[in-house]
Amino acid sequence: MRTVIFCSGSFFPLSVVAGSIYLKNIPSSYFRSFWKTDCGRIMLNKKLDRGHFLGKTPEGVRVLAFSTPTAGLVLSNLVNTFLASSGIDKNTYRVVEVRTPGSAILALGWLLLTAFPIRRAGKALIDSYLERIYPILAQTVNLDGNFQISDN
Amino acid sequence: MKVIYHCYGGAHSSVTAANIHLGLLPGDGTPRYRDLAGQRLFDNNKFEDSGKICFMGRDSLGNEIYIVGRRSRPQLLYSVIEGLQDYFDVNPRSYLIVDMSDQVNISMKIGGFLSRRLGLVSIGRPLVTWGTLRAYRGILNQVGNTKELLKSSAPSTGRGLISTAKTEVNL
Repeated sequence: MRTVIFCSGSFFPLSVVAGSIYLKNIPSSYFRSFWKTDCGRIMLNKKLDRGHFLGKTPEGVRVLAFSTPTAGLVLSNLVNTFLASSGIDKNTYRVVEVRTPGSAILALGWLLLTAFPIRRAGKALIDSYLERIYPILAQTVNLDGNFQISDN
Repeated sequence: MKVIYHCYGGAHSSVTAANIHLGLLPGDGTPRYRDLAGQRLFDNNKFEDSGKICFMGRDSLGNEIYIVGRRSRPQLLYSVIEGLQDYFDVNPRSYLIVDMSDQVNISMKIGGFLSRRLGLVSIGRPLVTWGTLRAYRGILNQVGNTKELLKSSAPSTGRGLISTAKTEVNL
């Protein structure tokens, strides 16, 4: 089965956002009602370092998201090399690392959202960060996520 | 069976453990300084290599030996492997994961930091090699424990797999 795996090393699991754009569950341009989507709910409720199955495209490609607060590079390298060492055919999966420039704002927003009772301030910070980073996410999905994988 | 030795950087203790396991370093006594410093991949990886599971060789029983540097996130290694095993239908009983970070002494930490992080190889490498010589007995014991565990946990017996070679965790 063909699989795309999005990995991110940020306090806010951007791999879920990228995966949801890939699945076309959310638009590829930023929108304010983000938190009311399934994508927003997954991010608020799930621990993602064991991965999360986001869904399947109409073509049958599975989409997984892995995220960890730090060490995004370690995460994507681990996923890539573990699958290779397990003998999984390289043509059947693709690992996409979602890079997160300026993620200090994101970390602060996530902290406010999860650890303090001022959730609204946290959401506002994350919203403003997402608005800035969304074009990069959409570009990552377009450039790295769209690939030709063999059915064999 | 695949054995993955892991530590912070994947450059010193795990490389030494893998080479002991493969019989490339003495299984009794202490090696010479130049034997340690001359090991394949010893004090050799870069920051971008963090998280890369690297194949070191196959032992006499046919087990595949790997190393990985997982920075300060050992739990991430376990979580990712557990997750991927589920999604890709990999046999969870085919891996033994051994944490070598308990064997790392202060000389190895300082020497490794100087050599790998700051690029001061001429100062860091002798220090980390000297530290590894001092830690050699402990690394040797842990490799011995791992080999014992391997003998008693053949896949057909259904023993568990994610392990530090001290405490075994059944999946």
